[in-house]
Amino acid sequence: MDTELIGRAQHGDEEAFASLAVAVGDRLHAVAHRILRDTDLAEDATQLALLAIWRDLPRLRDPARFDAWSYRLLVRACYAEGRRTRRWTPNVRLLPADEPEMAEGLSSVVDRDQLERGFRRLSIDHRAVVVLHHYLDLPLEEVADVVGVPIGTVRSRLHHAMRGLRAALEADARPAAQEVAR
Amino acid sequence: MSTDRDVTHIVRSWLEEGVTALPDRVLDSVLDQLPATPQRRAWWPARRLGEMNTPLRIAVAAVAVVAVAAIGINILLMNGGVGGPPSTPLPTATAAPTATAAPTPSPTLAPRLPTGQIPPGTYRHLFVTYTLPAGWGTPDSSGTTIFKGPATTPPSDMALDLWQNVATVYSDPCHWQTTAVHIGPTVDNLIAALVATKRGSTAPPVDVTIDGFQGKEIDLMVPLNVKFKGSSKATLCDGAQYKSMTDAGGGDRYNQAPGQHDLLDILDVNGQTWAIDRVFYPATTAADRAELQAIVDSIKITP
Repeated sequence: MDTELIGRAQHGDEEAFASLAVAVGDRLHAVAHRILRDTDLAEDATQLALLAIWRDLPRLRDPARFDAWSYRLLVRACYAEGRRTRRWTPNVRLLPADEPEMAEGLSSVVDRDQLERGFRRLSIDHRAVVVLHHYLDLPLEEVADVVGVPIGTVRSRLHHAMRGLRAALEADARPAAQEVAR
Repeated sequence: MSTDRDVTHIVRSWLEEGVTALPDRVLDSVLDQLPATPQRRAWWPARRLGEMNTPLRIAVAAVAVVAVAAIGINILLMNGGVGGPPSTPLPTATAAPTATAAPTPSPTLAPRLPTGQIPPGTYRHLFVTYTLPAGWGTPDSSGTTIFKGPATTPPSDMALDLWQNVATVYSDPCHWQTTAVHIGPTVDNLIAALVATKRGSTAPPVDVTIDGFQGKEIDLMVPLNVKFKGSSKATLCDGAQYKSMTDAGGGDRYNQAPGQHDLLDILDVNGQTWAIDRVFYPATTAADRAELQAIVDSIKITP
């Protein structure tokens, strides 16, 4: 991230912050959407996070830490949004025609649907760790810094989350198979 | 049966799908709100006075004394000196405004809080309008805190801080890195979380009403035996900080010293949980406490 731009925004330069927001907005929104699994909530969380970044930017001591710091504020905004509304979208299976191109590694529409439902069963604490590590590729030490918990807790959450997703993939597959058999 | 590696691969592929672009309308909305969203400066920079060595502290205090003396002499000269013409009276609710009077317009037209030392008068500050006597200041107009005196060092200084939607309370503020509690959105949620902290309250919470908005009041005190920093790592707080809460925007409340009080009035303002925090020490005088109370009594909530 451009530390000169961050420095100007820290001193109240709205134009510099606008450039900063354009540079990081998509990335923050993508993360929020993956944690919250809801477009409206993700937009609200991203907006909340960007305003928090603007408001607290003067308190950021080391501009080089901007990325991790901004993820920290975003995850907090996700907590706030998740807690505030709890207006999760219903567990409706997507129609194949509505779905994007199948990504490599996703064996079927069923996998995607199972993952969606399994992921929604996780708490936001657990979702955040999965997204930060497996989507942003942050090392576990950095994930711990972002979510503000010890690395042992991050490992535990990640283990629990992945076990839950694996169980969702396997357990949800069983009724489907039985249904086909009938 | 999938292997762990298969599951990881599937999850990573699944996460790659989906929304990435932030809609322009969201970005536009953020940028539109910037002029009305004050930036927070690192609050209470004077707190570092407590961390300075003694000679440096004396030097800083000497500079402050000289500055105050210079301002005082300047005021005396402007008013004709000691024994000269009487100074311009401070504005009151009934006094006619004069050219040198500090602004005291009606609450709806109150000016925003100025920077530095604040002339007595009525001001807008975040979600409140309040009337301040002489002697109060703020590091900058965008801060959340006002304080009495040239610094906010223990044992007798005091401050007033404003909080919007506290999102996290630390059940052990000394060991905040491992004790974060994410709390619900109501006044009762926040009160329950604060009562349950290791810091504890000095008395049971009581009902309070400020400018027609109802809520609860709770007095929290940093235990006198807590050690923020020192030579023995085993007894230190995490990061040598005592952190009691964090708001939804990521603003942290770090306490400054053992014995420090946070007398919190936590209000339900149209479904938002807003808090007015009176900060003082056991040695803060009764007169100063009364002054703090008078400021709170003057508060008009402006959602």
